[in-house]
Amino acid sequence: MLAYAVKRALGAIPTLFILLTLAFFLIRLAPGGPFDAERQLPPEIEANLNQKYHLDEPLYQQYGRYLWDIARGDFGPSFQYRDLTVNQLIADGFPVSLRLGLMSLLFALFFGVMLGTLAALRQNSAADYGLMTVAMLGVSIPNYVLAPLMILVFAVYQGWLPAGGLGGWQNYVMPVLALGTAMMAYIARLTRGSMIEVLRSNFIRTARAKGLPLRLLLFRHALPAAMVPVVSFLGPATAGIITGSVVIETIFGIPGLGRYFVQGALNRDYTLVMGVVLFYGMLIIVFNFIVDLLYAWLDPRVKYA
Amino acid sequence: MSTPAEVLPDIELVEGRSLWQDAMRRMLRNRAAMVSSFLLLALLITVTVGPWISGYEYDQLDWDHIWEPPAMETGHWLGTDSLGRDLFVRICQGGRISLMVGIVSTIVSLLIGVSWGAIAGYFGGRVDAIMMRIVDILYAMPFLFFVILLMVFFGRHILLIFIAIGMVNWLDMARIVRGQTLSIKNKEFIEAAWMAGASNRRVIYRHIIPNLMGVVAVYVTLTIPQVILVESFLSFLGLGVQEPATSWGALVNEGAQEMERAPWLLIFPASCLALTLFCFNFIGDGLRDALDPKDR
Amino acid sequence: MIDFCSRKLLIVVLCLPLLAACGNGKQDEAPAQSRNAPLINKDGSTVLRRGNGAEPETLDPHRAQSVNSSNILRDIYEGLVSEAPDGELVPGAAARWEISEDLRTYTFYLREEAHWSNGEPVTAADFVYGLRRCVDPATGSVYAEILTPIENAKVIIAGEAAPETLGVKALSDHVLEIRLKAPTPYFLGLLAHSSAYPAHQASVEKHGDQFTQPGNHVSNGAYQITDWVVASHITLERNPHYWDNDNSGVDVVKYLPIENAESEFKRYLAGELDMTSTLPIPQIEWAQKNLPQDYQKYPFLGVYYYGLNLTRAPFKDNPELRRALSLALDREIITEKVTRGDQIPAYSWVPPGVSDYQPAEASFAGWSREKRIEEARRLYREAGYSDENPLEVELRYNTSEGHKKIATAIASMWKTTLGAKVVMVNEEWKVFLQNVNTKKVTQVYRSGWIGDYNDANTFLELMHSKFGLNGTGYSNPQYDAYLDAASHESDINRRRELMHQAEQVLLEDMPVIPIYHYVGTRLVKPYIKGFVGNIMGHFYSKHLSIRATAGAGDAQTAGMQ
Repeated sequence: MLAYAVKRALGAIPTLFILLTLAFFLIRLAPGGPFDAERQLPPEIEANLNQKYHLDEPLYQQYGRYLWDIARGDFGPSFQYRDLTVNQLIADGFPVSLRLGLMSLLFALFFGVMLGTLAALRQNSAADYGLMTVAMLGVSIPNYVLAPLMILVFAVYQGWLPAGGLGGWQNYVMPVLALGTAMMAYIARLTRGSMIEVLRSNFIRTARAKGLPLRLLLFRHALPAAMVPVVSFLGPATAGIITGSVVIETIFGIPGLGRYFVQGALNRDYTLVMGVVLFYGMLIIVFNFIVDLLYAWLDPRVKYA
Repeated sequence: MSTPAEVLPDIELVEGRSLWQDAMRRMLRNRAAMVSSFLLLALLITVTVGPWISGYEYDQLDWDHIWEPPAMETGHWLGTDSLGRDLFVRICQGGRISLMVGIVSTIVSLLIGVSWGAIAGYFGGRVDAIMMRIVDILYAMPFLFFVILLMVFFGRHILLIFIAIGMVNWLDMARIVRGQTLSIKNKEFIEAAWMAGASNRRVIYRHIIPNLMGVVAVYVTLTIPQVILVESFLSFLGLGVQEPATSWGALVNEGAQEMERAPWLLIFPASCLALTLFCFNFIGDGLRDALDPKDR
Repeated sequence: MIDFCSRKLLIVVLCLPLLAACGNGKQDEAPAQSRNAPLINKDGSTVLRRGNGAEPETLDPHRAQSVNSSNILRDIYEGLVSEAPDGELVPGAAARWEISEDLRTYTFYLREEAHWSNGEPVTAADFVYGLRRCVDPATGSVYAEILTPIENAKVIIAGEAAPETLGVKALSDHVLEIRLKAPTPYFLGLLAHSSAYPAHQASVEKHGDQFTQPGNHVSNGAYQITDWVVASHITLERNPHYWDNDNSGVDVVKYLPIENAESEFKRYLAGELDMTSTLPIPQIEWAQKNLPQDYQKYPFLGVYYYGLNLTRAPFKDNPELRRALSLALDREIITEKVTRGDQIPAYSWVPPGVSDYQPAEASFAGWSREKRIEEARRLYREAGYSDENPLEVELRYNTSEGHKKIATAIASMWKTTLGAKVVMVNEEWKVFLQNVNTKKVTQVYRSGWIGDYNDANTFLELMHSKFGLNGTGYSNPQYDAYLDAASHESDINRRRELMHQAEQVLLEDMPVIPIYHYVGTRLVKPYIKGFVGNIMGHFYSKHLSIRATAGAGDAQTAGMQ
């Protein structure tokens, strides 16, 4: 197990290296620079700024410098937010993003699995069709529609929840719903499909025949087996959370990391965008590792060594 | 896992039901999938011929009919937007674009994904290991970042948008196809076919491809709606289709900003978008059930 | 158990969309009363919550460039000269000043009671340090050019002289002398700009780039930064050592960076904001009708225009075509039907209302719609275009819903009136900027200019051939000559006349097509006292206070937030 973890960690290094290199040169190739603005800088001042941020050096030299800084854990100063470093921005934004992402994930998992199981238990009943239609609706409504609609209803008309910003738990309700609904719907569909299959399989039939209570049967035997496809969906799902969070953060005014992806790229804030890309690359790798461990835990046939 | 008909593929004297005929029959019996197919077809026809029926152009502004709710008399069946453009025609035009985005970029991702996955799965060993490693690395890349950069590089060229989305979307396909190829290769019925003296060609065409096609077909019906959603996300960021052309994503996004003042601008395009995604998903489910050999 | 759960859940799940639908019926009701209450902290201090557009890029006064940064800087710093609620210049850190006979030497007498937020007195040396810091190329100030009227500023910015050579001198602790290169009638207005703010040398040198962080920041304005969470909020509290605290309004100011105007609007309706930074176009009519007390509209020193690239075909040496396009563009329709915010159709380059100046007017300003169209078609044909040989032109604009709508409307006007083939090109901001600046591919591009100070020069100098921002490549020696003469003219009437002539030349040449003059629209809660619209769009928080009649019972307590 430990050996496996070490092996995975070592395997991640080239992945991150390639990611970093690709992202570095791609963003540099994009037209325009961080200091282009409507009010153009006097050439002398621009030259000065370029020197300050080492943008006047040849690209390979900047790349080397960047690698060296990264190796020491320094993501550099942000070009857009001049008073801050990328490390500060990530340190501030990540806890918020993590909280939002995890809460959405848990929400989606809990309700998705529950609804999927319910639908599977009453396959082809009205309840099944009703639940699956709702799930399908959840997938089909873009979150940039769902989010303002919820704000309108729950914040503006009813005044039950705050319309945006960060504060108490109330501030998280709508963002979590908006971010998690589509994922919940996917998970419900996945769970339903695999649960139907599992319930038909021989081992469940045997257990049933033996007179095992439904609850025990469901939680002890059927659910873990039915969770396998759901768990493998979690990898892509995290990527979906990142994209989704751009929308959610923009609409709800939440100070997370997702927006920096878009802003950093559009502002040519080289260091910031590199920082978030690399950071998310690492997160995805770590998350995939956890997913694989979960996989092994749920499916005894899978073994890692 | 396999049916007698497959174990004994050469006995064709007894009018055997082929995989496809069988799937067809199952598909036709699936009411949800059939209704969806019908609706989708109807939508496709509307979107194609709609602009000819309506007397308006999608980029025709009308300053005297701004923000008009749906009305039969004016000919603006679904109302007009903030510039007085006819919503019905714009939905048709946007639908063409959205469906085209979905289909073209799915084809791109299909071409790359299937060949990548099939090659890796077929050759196995070192080739497989290297190719799948590349897929793993690409999985760690934030898709969003690349799409934004591609938009920056290529501007707003619609065809390039399709291709760009397709190019970042093939990873799942490659994985699925590879897995499927691997497992089919080791199935008893393939061995049986070999033993029965079937040629390489025959095995591939008669057994591997049909079995792959099921997964691919399901994947396609699930990818098209996904791509349509990606396009709509790009529209949210303002990186979508170039005005005056539009897409469902762009229309929904515009509508969402004016939902209280002009709800029809949100409701109609959003319904079209949702309906299309619904239909594709039901068809996908139907195909999966129809083609799943386990369930026979 | 499962049965029970499933039924209950089903009901809940199926009801959610219904619930959402229920809410829609109430759209025209005014927001609930309780949300129209100010926020008052438990300790009794009043809070002003301001929407502020995008996150400010910096709170360093000498490097700031965005409106969002400037809004906050005006609250935490105070220049030698400050502004009254209506935008009039009033004494700031300087109690009074003297201007020499030749109009080139300004002597400022600083308030002895003015203090930094750490209690130290504000001295002339602080201003000397601030001004030098701004023009020092090492600082990388975007707005250093604002200070070019000061002696030697230009050469220092160019890196050809040391910052110490700037024509600024501390005659004593509280007397500051500034020498100008030439008489500049609008110079006092420049001193209210953030580029001319003082800086606290000790804290800047100690903390480097981090000197703006709460805890490190030392400021001399009415407020000081106490909390800054990027993309969430910036909180300012009273500077206890500010000289004019007795006359300042609210105790705490909370700036909320909300980029999405729709989100800002909804948060205002939900009672989470006291003042928005803008108002989304689709909501203007609704707000005028339903929130007449909150709706604030004021003319604003800015022009929205389309630039024409004069260095390339088809606009190079083709004034007929430029005029034709300008004539074919129906400004009234744009402001009435598209922007819908009571903007002023622009027939001049300089916006109306600018201090001591009457903008020139394009010759066709008074014409009827038919006459304009007729003349536009005549000029279009004269320029060599016809239905068989239509003008093919690209219209570039940067990604934004508002720009897109205007561009769509204008493209359609040119198409229907002249038969031109207009291709709309939506470009991402940085690509757009690069294309405008290099002038290699742009033909028509959308742009806008907001005055940096209240003088016609801030608009006119934009089109000077030597000015770096001239994306059109416009270069008319006569225009330059008028402006150059105006910049050295000490007689105010003569100067005004020269600038007017320059603008007349510009409107004849039509390198830019002015479309409308800005109008500021925002929502301000009726319980906020002291809001006065002004042409600069500068709203100092110290001028705003919570109306006493807003009963304590209505007030929200901080705990609820």
